[in-house]
Amino acid sequence: MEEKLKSYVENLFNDVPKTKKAVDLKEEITSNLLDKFNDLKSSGKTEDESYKIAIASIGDIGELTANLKDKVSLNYEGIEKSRKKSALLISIAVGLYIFSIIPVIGFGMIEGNDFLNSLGIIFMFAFCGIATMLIVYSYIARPKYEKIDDTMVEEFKEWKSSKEKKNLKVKGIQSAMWCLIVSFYFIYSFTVGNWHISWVIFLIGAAIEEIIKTVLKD
Amino acid sequence: MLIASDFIRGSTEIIILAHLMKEDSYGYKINKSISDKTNGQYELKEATLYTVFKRLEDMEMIVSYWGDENKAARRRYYKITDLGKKFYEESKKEWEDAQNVIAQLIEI
Repeated sequence: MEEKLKSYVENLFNDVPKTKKAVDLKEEITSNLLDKFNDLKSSGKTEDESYKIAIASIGDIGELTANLKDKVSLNYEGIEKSRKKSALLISIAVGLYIFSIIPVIGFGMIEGNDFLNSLGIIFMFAFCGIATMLIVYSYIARPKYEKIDDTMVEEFKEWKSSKEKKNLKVKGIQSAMWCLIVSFYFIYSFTVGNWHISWVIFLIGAAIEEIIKTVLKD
Repeated sequence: MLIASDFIRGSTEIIILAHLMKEDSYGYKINKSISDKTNGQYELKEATLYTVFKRLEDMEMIVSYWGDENKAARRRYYKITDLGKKFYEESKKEWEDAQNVIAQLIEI
């Protein structure tokens, strides 16, 4: 009969996600029901009667289990929202990269004015800088997976997510760094004209990249 | 024969807190004591009990821990916090005031 009580409670939780809260509530209900059942039995009721009275005393736990379900779906909504936000930020960033060439061409068409010509390049770098900032921000600000409760699965998801987030941070820094290296290479080479040696900066860049990766690993 | 349950439903929180003032307790024991004290006239539905436990826990008036009985299912014990005790004292006073007022008002 005790098994029958247990499986009755089990059935109440059939369509509830097996989070720690749900499992705890199920155990709490089961233990209280068993106490009640045994108490009724020792007060002289038959097993059948005791079972029926115990079951009837539960009442409607629909509201309780609905709360447990809500939490999960609410979380998904939040993730979806932030995904859209980061997609928007990245689109703006890519747009800035593409448009960054416009001031260079525009100001470059004005002849005989070095100041305005270099102003175009300054704008280009400003655009690139802002775009890179947006990308780095959108990677770092993306919400990390929050534990719904402390089951093993949730812990694993959180661990995985924190690892992924670190990787994204590294990627953001890397792309910003290479952007800067390429810009520096062209500026330096065009102004000084040392083409035969300036390419060394790529080797230096690769070395720095490895150092950053090692430092940020784990 | 059930006494006016609407009156009592509004006071479920303070009833449960009152039971926890003496000692830590768990769902069935609290409900049994409510039933005994009222000679079986009143008993909470378990669903109500858990809803109130959860609400009180969210408000940090009680905390819970698992008992270590060697049983198939462990008991979940609740313990009243200092905040809960304060709330209990205040609610009790409010209840007594309200009781006096109502008693005066329903007198012909």
